[in-house]
Amino acid sequence: MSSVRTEELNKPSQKTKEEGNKFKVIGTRPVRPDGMDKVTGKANFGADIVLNGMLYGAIHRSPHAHALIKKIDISKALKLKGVKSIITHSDLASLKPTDKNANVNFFDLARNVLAKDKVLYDGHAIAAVAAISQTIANKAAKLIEVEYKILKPVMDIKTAEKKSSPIIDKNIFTEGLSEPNKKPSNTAKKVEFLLGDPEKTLKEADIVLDRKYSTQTVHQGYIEPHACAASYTKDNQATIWCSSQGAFMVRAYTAKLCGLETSKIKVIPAEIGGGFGGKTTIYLEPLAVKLSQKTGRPVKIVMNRTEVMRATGPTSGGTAHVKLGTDKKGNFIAGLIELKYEAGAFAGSPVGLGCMTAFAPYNLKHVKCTGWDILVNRPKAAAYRAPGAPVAAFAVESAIDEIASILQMDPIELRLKNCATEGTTAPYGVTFDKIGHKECLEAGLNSSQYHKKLKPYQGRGVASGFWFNIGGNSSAEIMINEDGNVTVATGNPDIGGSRASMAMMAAETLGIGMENVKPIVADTESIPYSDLTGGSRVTFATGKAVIEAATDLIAEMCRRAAKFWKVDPAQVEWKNGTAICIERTDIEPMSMKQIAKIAFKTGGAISGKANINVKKGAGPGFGVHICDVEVDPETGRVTVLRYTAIQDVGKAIHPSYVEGQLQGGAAQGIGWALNEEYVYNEHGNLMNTGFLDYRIPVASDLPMIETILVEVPNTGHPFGVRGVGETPIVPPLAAVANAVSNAIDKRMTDLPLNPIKILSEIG
Amino acid sequence: MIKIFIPSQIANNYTNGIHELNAKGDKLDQVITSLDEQYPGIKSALSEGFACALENEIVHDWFDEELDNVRSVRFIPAIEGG
Amino acid sequence: MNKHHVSMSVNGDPVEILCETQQTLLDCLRDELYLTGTKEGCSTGDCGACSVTLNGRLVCSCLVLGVEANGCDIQTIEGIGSEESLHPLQKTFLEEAALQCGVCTPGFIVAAKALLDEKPDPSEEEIRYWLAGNLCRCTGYDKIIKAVIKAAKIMREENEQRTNRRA
Repeated sequence: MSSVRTEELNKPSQKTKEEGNKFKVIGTRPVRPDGMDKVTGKANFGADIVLNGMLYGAIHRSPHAHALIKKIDISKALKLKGVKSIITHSDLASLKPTDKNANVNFFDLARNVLAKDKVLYDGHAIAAVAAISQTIANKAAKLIEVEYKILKPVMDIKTAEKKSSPIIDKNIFTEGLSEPNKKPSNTAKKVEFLLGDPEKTLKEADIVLDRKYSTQTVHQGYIEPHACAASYTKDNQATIWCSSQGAFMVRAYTAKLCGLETSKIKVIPAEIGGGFGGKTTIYLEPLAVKLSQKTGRPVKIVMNRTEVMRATGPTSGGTAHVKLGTDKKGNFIAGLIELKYEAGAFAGSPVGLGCMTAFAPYNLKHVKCTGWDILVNRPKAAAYRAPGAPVAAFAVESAIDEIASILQMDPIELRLKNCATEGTTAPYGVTFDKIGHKECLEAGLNSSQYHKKLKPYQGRGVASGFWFNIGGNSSAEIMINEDGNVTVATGNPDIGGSRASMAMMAAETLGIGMENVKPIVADTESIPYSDLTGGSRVTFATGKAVIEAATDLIAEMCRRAAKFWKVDPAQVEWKNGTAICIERTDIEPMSMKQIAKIAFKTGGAISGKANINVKKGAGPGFGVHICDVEVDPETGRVTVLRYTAIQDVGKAIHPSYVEGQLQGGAAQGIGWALNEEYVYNEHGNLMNTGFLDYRIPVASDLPMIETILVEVPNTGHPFGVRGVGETPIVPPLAAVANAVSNAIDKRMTDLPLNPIKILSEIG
Repeated sequence: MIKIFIPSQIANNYTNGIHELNAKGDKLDQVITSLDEQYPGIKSALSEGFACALENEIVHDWFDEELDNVRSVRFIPAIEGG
Repeated sequence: MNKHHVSMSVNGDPVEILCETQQTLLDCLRDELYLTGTKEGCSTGDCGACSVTLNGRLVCSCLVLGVEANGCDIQTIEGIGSEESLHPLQKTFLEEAALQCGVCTPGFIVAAKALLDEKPDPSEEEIRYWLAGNLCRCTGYDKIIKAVIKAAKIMREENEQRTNRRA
């Protein structure tokens, strides 16, 4: 059975109703401003930076998953001609376990970028070399000799919880227990969210679905490996060129690990070749800075794919135990979930977010979500698109599918009966404003895919998903150039087309065309602080900053026009991209081009700015995905036949890129459900360190992914924007698993659903 | 009177495990300051790494938010994203 | 260390470089010629970000040694279109929003061009299988496939017009 269909091509894809657009720029589909450089190969990504006199870096990594470092001998490596310097953990700033803030534990981060006394996972960095060529640097890295005392690796949650298992980190005492733990533990934390009395209420339920689910460690799989270059100069200033999701994050983290003042570091953001959360932390930057400091020359370090897989950002595999109680009519009355997530070798899995999102799409008065953060000898978990939510949603949405079949109800109808709407209090404490879960479900019922007939060994799966949207600190500055065009600067790296949406929101507010706006991502010395690009916050929060900066600019332009016209500023208004003098027909309106010309006469260059912390107004996002699969009973292979992703996007600024977020998230989720997993051998060595064995979906694995953009505007944003980027990865795990389960009539609870598992189920 | 809900880890350390507290005030920082008199240290503990849900809004970096029409305040772990 | 003298044609220009035995064509393009439009995503031939053509044949430049390229004709993304006159694929990738982060884009355009040069009217299925060696993690491939179909149509029309003019 081929996985490719051509029939959909002849039909127009689902689009938003653009004709009903009250905006001029927003909701249209212009060519993105950074596109030209990207289709011609001119865009500079992290690894593309070349500096005069540059040295090349390489990293010596642990071949063991768990071992004490007894001795590091760099003498042979140092003797190699062309090697300029080698650093280890002791070259970093000395930090204590208490060096942490709300977002990051710097003591852990420092021990992750270069191991301190102990290696904690296969591929853990131990030493970094700088040499005159990549070849010599690689050779030197191999010549570094490390003496280990090998310890038993703790590779999974079950082993980690055993009392007899080795302790990965002696500083970890389980947080969040009512009786504090006196002994160190591999369980770092317990979190709990409670609403009502779920245990008691569950006893009153007519149907209780009680089931356990499990998933494996997966990687974000960005195509661009981590890369950076750093130059440390004699006046104790460092400049870093790198691809990341936050230049200010890189600056703050690197400063801390290198023992430098934040202001001594300048970070120049490169184009970023995919992040999905995995580039919200640092790995190479402090190493490059320290090597540059020691050698007096710029140093560039680029990871290869194997290093990316062994030592960077996977997200947690985990287990989920769900109990969902309903009455005979299918009304949900109580839900309980216990989640256990792998944190990797350092505390900090996204299990809390899993708990907060698990039942959020539903109106439940009695909920208990318990989460456990568990250390294992795998790489330190990093954020991955809606961190924590997909695994929890896989469990809850699978349970709902099973209840639907018990009740012989349509799975969308069952969800419609129970979905959260305006006024529903979510288990994590917020009472929803206007949200679009119901509208997405209705769109699903009406979608063309939902009415397609299925053949034997074919199955359909439905699942909902929820993710927050966050605000945070964002800065924007809009400058009028001498020719009357504007430059829009923000501090947020563009990971999926945000320069296009920033330019569009600026153009809309100013009343000018897209072609008159040039959006840029400024370096850390050219724009005030901005939180990193993550949490689906950029179009929402940084967009808000851009709108405010444009409003500020309009006010200044009106003042300048008033000054030039010698009228009271109150008489000047901004309309359709021009300043007009109200009640004065004798004064011609002034365009931005003309205002640019009078700028110097009336006081100097003109700009508008906004540096804001968007504390309120974030609009949560809900999605519903429908997946049709066919299972080959002979090989166990699953083919995705059809896929529809529906989401309440608030207001799509650039609908094509919003659709792209839905399609990309769905594809990542399909990979997570069907193929992707970290495979370790009994010694704790990662066996699939490349794209051949860690198989992310390729073009021939997927059908066209239909999208339906539902627009329930977020009242907390001037244009109605909601966070869009993360929600699309929440529903696919369950949508695929439900489809497969329905195709073979066996409930599949353990991801990924590879052919071996499917064959063993269908015999 | 406003109901304040706090997470287990704070409750275990500062309030003998009580999750639900009552306090008075017009602004969030006033309310939490008054709680701090009763449970010393709770204000600074809630200041790092916690957001709070004020009915229909989640507020990060909470400070002097007005509490008109707010009946309950729930402190939750700060939300991060990918 | 012995370096090898390699002469080749890159995008029509004669170039000469010295390369180490183990350096790949990808390394030579990026590190010796500073043609950084060709990207490294895996160095094992699995992701296609380093796609170039060698004597007209589509290859992963990470699987070709620099010395093997001696005497060969290499075409990279830098040789496809220009800002003044974009190749139809470059145009349709922009129009169809077929890129998000853009790091896989040069490889996709080089690979898709090789397909359309060989087969002007491929089906969706043929496009999907031809591009199965190019990984994209952002888009779910949808808009890429649509951009290639659209470019193929434009190229066929252009070709037809040229033929008509000649006749």
